[in-house]
Amino acid sequence: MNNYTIMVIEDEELLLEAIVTKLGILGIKVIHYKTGKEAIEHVKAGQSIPDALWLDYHLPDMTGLEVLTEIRENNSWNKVPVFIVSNSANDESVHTMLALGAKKYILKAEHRLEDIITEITNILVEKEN
Amino acid sequence: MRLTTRINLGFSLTFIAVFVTTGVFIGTQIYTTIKDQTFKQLNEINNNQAEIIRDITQEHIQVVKTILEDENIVTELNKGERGDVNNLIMYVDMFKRHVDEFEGITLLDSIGNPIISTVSLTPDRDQVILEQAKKGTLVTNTFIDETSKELVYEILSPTKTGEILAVQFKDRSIQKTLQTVQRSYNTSESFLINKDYYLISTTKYKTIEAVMTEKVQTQTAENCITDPANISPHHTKGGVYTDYRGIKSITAHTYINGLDWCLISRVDLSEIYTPWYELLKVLGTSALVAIVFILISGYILSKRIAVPILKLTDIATNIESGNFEENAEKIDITQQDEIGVLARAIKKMLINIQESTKNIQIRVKEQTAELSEKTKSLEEQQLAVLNILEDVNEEKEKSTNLAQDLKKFELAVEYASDHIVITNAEGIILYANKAVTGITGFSTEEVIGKKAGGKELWGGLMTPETYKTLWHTIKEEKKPFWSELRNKRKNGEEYTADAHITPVLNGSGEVIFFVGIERDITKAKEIDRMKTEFISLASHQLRTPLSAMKWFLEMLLNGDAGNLTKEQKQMVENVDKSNERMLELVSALLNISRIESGRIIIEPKPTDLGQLINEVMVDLAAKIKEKKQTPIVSIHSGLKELNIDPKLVRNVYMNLLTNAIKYSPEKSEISVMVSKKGNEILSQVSDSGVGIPKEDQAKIFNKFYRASNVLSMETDGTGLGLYLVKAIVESSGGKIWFESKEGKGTSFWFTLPVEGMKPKKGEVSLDI
Repeated sequence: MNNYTIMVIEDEELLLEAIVTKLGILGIKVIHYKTGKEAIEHVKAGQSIPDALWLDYHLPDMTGLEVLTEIRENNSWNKVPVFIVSNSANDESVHTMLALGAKKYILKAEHRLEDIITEITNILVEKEN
Repeated sequence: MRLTTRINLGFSLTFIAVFVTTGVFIGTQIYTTIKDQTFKQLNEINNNQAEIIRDITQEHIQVVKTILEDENIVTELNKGERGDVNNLIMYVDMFKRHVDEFEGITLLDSIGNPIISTVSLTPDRDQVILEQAKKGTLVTNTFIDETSKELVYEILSPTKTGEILAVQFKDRSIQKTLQTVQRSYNTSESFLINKDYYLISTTKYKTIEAVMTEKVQTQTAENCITDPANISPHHTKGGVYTDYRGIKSITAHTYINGLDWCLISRVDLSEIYTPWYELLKVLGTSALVAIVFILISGYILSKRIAVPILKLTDIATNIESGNFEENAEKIDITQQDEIGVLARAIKKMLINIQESTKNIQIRVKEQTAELSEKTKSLEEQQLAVLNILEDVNEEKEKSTNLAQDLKKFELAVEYASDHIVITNAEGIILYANKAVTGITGFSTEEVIGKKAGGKELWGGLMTPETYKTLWHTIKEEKKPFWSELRNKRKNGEEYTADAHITPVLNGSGEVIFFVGIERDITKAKEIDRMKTEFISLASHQLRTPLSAMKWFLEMLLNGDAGNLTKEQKQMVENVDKSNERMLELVSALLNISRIESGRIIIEPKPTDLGQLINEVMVDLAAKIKEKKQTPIVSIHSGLKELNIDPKLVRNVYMNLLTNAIKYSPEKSEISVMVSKKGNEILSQVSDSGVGIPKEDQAKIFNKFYRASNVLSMETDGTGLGLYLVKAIVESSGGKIWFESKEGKGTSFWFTLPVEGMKPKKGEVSLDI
């Protein structure tokens, strides 16, 4: 699993810490941002492309949908699987995001951290094969 | 009275009555005819005589006029007492040769003393006559010539010198004329009277001595003199009167103008009716003979008619005994006339009656039974009517109280805080209470007569579909309609109204009024929305820290931060459990607020119910395995895909099955059965768990309610699961119910319509 790099966009400090800690324990590299703007700058700057994107829906500067739309404009980011991990989003935006290629919508409160990561890595393994 | 006597008497009396009536009629006719004929004859004679007498006197008057113009006579008369009587006689004699009855003349002074006269006659002349004569009126005076014992009458006339000339005539021709009537009858006569009723002629029964000494004061005389022109309708020109001798007579009279004489003709009534009396005698005799004959023939005839009838009567009397046949045999009349026909008809009738009597007896029996039945029912009805009358009095008292109550209701409606209108069957407003103005801003006057909820008033915002449904419900289905409607006030401001419209029907089920009650729920809606929003927001906010706790606890328990001692692990597990429960509660609250706010999306799609249940079972497999329970799933084999919202239905199964597992003992069976029943898909979730105590059963679907037995046993649980299940099933068009016995187990059933759920737009779905 050491080969994987996941970009996490999560504005909540404690949640981000938990995610980063767990990913680290599991040996997965993490690029993390607290705002949508920072993440988009990363994309636009042509910096490294992660294997997967962990995206919260409620961000202080923009919604997960807006971030997703922006990122999808860049062709090289097109194939990055996106996981929306959030505690709330309205149905319509969830639909739109799934339509835009988001792999899954995951409710934080109902899933264990390890389960979410396993789900992501499973997809990545499948993709490789 | 016996029949024979009656027929005889009837027959005889009829004949006698006809006979007598005819006799009396003929007799009367003859009597009247004789009388009328006699009178006619007498009247004719009387008129002729009067005419002749007028002619005679006219001739005499002419003589008087000639004398008064004769020069010799006048000259001689003018000499008065000195005149030569012999010369005068000589001149007068010249007239005498030409006029038979002319007797002579006498010149009288103004008081009636003779001055000179050609005759020796000295009649009485009263002053009245003289006075009249002086005036020039034609005056006559009748008297007896004592020498010749003949009647003489004189005409008095004034001379140019103021004296009076009296001219005397023998009365022979007048008397002769009067005699002519005697030729007609034995008792007939004519006579003259003057206007003082004195006889001035002889009569058949009065000699010359009676002239100017006896009066004829009969009714006839009075009629003639008092009514000379015969004008009065009471006076006939004659008829049956009593004559001067007191004898019934037929009389006729004529008044002779100028002379003031009355000519009366008469005949004895007895003489005229002699032949009539003779006829009456003959008639009477023949009548007696006829009556005797009639009585005899009546008797014979009555016998002939009555005997067979009497016989029939006897038989008819015996019929009462009821033995019709026996009596029928007794009828042996063989006559060929009507009586014979009658007898045979009776015979036939008796035989028929015998037949029908039998039938009638049977019918009477039946009808008597029926009648007694009806009488009974009538008595019952009577009793009912009496009861009703009693009730009416009670009702009267009640209605007085009702009228007072009605006033209260009126006030209640008028001052109610809800907007209340009453319309006719077309929706035209007839009544609006004060709150209508308060809520809508339209005055009562603006509202009355307009269409309730029309564009002019507070309406116009309703969708065409709602409008259609509304009218269909209240007018066609005649059921109350309830809905939340958007309305607008007079100032244009929009508001939400909770509207109830109820049709009022008459006795024949026709709509006569609509009662519309609306409440302005704008504020309530706003508060409700804010409450839901608050819960939603709060839940979201709670979720983030709870999630952080969840994940850190997960790492702690996983040993990511180093191994925990046994005690530490136990404690952290407890914290984790509480955290999980908190998350569950927040999720449930969120779902409820979503359903209650109506923001929930219903998104039906073809769903394989069996697959859905299996997925739920997979999710719950760990829990089932933990309790070593046996899951049994039975799905109706021919079940097609259902058009339902899988998320919602999944939630229902999830909740029911979670409860079943949670509250059932280890190694028990948990079953799910799905079948099709009519237009519904019926699901059953059963367990053999602790059951729901009877006292809790009514409240089990209430929000936050948990049964008493599970409260002490299991602290985990929100009291929101069944509330949510019921909300989902009912908003999907289904029903939910259960059966449970404490300590034995519980079965929940819920239905879903075969046609599936209706889609609904909203903002959120469950579990996001």
